[in-house]
Amino acid sequence: MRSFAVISGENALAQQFTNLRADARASSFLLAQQMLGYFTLSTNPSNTQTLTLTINGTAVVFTFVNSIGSTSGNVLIGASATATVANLLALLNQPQTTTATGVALSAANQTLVSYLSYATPTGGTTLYVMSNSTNLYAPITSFSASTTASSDSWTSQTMQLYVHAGTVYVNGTRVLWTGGSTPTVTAPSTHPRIDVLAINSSSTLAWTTGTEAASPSAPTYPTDQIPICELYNVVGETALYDFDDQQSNQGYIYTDVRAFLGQIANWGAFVDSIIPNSNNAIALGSASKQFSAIYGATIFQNGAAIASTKFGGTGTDGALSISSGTTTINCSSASYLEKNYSSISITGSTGTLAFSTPNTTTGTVLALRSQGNVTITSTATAAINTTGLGGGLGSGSSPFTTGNQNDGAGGGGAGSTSGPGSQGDSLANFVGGFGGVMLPALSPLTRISLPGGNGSTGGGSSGGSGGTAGAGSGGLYIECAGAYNFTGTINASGGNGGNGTGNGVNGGGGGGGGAGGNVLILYSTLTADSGTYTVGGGSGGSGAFGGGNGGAGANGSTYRAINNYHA
Amino acid sequence: MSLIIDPQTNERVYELCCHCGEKGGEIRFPENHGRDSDQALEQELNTIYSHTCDQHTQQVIQ
Repeated sequence: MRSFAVISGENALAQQFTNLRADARASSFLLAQQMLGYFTLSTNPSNTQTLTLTINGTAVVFTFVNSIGSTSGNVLIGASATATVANLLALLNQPQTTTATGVALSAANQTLVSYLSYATPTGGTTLYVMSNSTNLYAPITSFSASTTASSDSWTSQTMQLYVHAGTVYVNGTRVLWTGGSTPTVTAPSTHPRIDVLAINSSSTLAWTTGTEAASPSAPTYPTDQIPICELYNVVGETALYDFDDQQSNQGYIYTDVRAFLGQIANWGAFVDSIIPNSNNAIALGSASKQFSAIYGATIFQNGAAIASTKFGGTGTDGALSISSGTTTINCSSASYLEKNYSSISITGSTGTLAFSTPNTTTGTVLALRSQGNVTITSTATAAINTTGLGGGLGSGSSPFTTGNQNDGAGGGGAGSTSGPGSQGDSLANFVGGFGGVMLPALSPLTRISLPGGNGSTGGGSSGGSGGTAGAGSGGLYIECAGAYNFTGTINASGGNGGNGTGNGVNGGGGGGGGAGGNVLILYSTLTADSGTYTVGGGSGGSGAFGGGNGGAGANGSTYRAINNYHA
Repeated sequence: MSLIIDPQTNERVYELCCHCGEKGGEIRFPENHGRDSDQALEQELNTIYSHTCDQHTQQVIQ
């Protein structure tokens, strides 16, 4: 659309007439305007029949003719009523120009017809007549119209507005409004009232009626519609004008509320991000007005992607590729650490993925989810290393002591999914630490893998200290929504318990061994699963000089299967 | 470690590098990675990942 802005106070020159016309054209987009009535010209007029506009007491006569001639106001009769009305409209809009279908009006009549606007929506046979008067310039003092054309007629209608053509988007639906009149307005009965005119996605104009009051307020705008104007109605009104105070005791257009930004908000055509004006302040929907569904490739909440139930995860942590060296993920003491990759690749001769800073109380569960392939072909000693991340369930208990015994009993080994940990060796008066409990077996339904427990420290003695506890290994879950290709090594072994120390006569007990970790792997397709899973429990440490030996940690286990359980 | 932009794909590439500068891998993100900015993404990754090359991994073990 071409639109030249006409600035307030600007002196327009004759050569700027096209600019003025273009500016007016743009501003008439869905413009509501005072209507005077309309001609119904569905029957093609006959030769010499007339249409008359009586403006300020002067009759401006248009004569329909078979041959155009040269008489001012002649309009050529076309092949159809529609064609004849088009000829008439052309002369009304260009009354100073003689063409093959219309003869120019006198200078005085040109001025009179310029006080009005004319429209035939969709090129039809209904000719609407609107007033151009405003509170700044209102040259019309009287108006009437008539026609002698057979079966055609003039209808005076001043309780409707005319809305000019325009195109809007209403909730993503393109609405092509070709112009036309509004529903008829009913005058209020006791007090003034404000109504709102709006158009909906079905291209229908409708009034939302306000409440009558001495000082009325506009009603709530209708939802899912584009508002056009507010109309101020008064008791006894018989016409609707364009502006306040234009005519006393008559209704008028109170406010032009066309929301141009809203009209072009075609969400289907948005190409830029939509960002609120401040952080954590703007809601999308509300508790009482919710969206029925939100679609998106990835939806985030507080920086983390949600919709996490989908097999393979969200991919929000990118595509991980390690070709050499050791990449370490900081667990930040989390008991559960989940990474959502789009793919995982650990290759080369040294590529390793390791973890640090586990939760020392509960151990750490690791979940590596991948939307695509998981390739672990690194020939490093451990392509993935989860040792030292165990604890919590399955940990061995400490041996019984009295505080200053000669020799210490053995620490308890840790339990895991394959069984409980072994009890540490008991002495005459001191019971060795009990082994940790057996953990629940891995299941493809749970999508979680518990870490192996830690062993316990061996019992101390007067001759030396008990051995250190062996650390369990973390639990590892790999979820692969692509092809799983594993030829490397995953090290999830439990740590050995430390040996007790002594003085050559007496000594402490050995520490309990840590349990092996557990590895659960689900994949969509399988390329290879020929690698090595090291999930053995750690051995118990040896007691020194009479101290008891620590119990061994239980082995962990693995469960690898094609995913038949999760969408 | 730093985040760079792949000029061919506009992907954000976080290079897994040892403190000595040797690169041992990368993490690739799409241009629309869901964080407020590239800087926010880089800061997030710096708190999670570290990397050592083979030589410096061996030194740590010894």
